[in-house]
Amino acid sequence: MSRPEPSLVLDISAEVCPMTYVRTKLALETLRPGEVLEVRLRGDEPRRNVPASARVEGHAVLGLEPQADGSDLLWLRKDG
Amino acid sequence: MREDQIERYSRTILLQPVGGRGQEALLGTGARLAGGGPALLTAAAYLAAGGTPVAVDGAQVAPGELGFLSGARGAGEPAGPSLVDVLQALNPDAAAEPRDWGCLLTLPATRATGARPQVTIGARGDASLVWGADARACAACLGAWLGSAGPAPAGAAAVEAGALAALLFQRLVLGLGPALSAVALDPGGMVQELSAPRCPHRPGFLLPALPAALRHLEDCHPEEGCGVILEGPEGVRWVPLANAYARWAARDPSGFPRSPRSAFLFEPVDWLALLRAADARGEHVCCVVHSHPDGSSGFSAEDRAQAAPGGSPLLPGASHLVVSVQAGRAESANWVSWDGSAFVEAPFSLSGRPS
Repeated sequence: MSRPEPSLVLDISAEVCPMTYVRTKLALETLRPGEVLEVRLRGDEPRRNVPASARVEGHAVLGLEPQADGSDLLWLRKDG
Repeated sequence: MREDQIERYSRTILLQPVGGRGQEALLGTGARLAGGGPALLTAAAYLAAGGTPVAVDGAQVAPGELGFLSGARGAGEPAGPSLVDVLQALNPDAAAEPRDWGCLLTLPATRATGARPQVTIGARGDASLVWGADARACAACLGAWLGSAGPAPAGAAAVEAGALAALLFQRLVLGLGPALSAVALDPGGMVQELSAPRCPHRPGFLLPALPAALRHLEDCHPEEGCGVILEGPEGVRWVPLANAYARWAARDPSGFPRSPRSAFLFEPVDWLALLRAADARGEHVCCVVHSHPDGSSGFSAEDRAQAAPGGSPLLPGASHLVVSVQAGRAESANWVSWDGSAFVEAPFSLSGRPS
């Protein structure tokens, strides 16, 4: 998968729920519709919940890619 | 928001209608309290906990009334400062200086304030009522709606009403919900959202009926023309009525000393027929229109007495339009509405009407 070009990069790999999506949501609010947020996250719960919460709020999940260090990169496109 | 605020309000930020921007709005709009009692204090507590700055300068808080906010702490101390202390202890953001101020009041405190949003706690019958108005709301409608309400509830109902009041205030700050609404809470705990009656005080709604009304008034010159605008399921329509003043003056000159050039009167039989027909069509009188030939468009003392003999309007909910007709042409008009306690008059533009 070719990586989307992000407008903003967010690292929530040290956060625990619910702050994982709180940080993601606050970051998305700063973007214009169509812009992409790249999120680094770690753990099963954020891996499940952050993309799901983003979808519920109408944003597009462009991809989720495991990384060598055990984290994941998630790309979200802000819908609007 | 500061980092500590993001942590404190994280659950609220997660709510879809709120988010970070909504939480910032809640932090930026304060509530000035007026009135007193457990309903007000409950609302203040919830608002403070949610980040809304709260000012207590207008609140009358009796010793011991702080209840769950302070427990045994503060017993014997002046209640006003204690309320400030407990709200700040609950949430330091409650003491911040916001960008804007709304108000939260319990009846029978001042019913009409200029602050928005305004949330009012009162009662009607055995139901607690909470009204909310934002900047878009018609002040006259709010005044009329509050006009027949009673004091805020006491006891457990007060706590429920206070919680609802806080929620309604937050909703208004977030720009959610209608501009003017109310929530009723019955003794059984059922909550019902009430819609505001259709606003009769803002004249734009009658524009479709205006051309026909003005033509009638001009045709009646130099006598006062009159009629009503009805509103129903299919919109508004003009219904002219004959000015019966001359007929009544001929029968009873002392009782009707003026002339149709300076007074108007609906023939009672015509008026009754109109009301029956309107009722059958699901219509109601939303505006009474009459003209002042070669005079000003001001709502005269005689007009006021006729519209509200004894001080209460004969047609509550209906407004009045007074049109000055000069040399057979409608030149200016005044719009008159009832705000719950008095007639309120404002110029009404006739510009843009077809010539």
